[in-house]
Amino acid sequence: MLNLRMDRRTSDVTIERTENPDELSITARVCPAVEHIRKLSTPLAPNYEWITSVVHETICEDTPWRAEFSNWDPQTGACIQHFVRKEAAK
Amino acid sequence: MISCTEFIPSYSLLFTWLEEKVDYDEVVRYWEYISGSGLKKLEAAIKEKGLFGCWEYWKHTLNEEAADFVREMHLNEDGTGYMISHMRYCPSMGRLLEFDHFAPYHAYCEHCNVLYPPLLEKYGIREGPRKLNAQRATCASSRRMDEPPAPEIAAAGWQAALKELENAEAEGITAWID
Repeated sequence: MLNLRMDRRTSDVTIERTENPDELSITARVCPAVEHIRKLSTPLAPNYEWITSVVHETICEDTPWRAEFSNWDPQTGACIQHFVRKEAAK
Repeated sequence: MISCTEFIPSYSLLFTWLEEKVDYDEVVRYWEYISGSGLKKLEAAIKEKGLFGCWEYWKHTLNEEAADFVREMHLNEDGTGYMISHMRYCPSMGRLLEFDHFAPYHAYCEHCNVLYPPLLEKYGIREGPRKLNAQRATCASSRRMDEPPAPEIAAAGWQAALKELENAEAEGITAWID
């Protein structure tokens, strides 16, 4: 008999709202996409994180919101994605 | 175009709307319609590779939906075998539970029971009893094929399974033969 076992866990991501209604933080400790690419021994594209950072910045264009992207770790895909109201950030 | 995950609330709201407009039986009829017309890829996979076609189909869809699950496939060379599935956190029901601006359709999880068994049974795959905890978005089920399919289907499934065995490590799949 041929046996296969696939065990998949969803990403380790936390979405946090502080008491400030004008702030939202998404903390990704492990990105499932990066994890999958690493498992395949495929090199991660340079600037891979732009998939997230550029898309978020573009979504926020011409809105009262600003997207920030930090703490990127290309080994795990860990990052912090932060959304903040522009006026509140001043 | 919307992503598969954005499709989930639309799906749930459609069920709710159908029941409000007509009744629960109408929702079931809609699921039966999808079962008969919307599962062509799954049917093609089973026709070509038997039980292993199911493995390939759900491997693709569950990974695409980023489900949290364990799935096992135990296949004999004659095409018989069984699959076990433990959905630790269903991406579909789980997503609905996270919303607070509308209530998920009260029998949302039932759609799986109506959609898949009729098609699987058509090809000799029997669905076992399903353990469900909708409020935790978790369920467990099994599927068995006790009678061998046509030899060419069994052979196609076995060859594909051997290939899966070769690539298992790279894909993070545990594989062994006994």
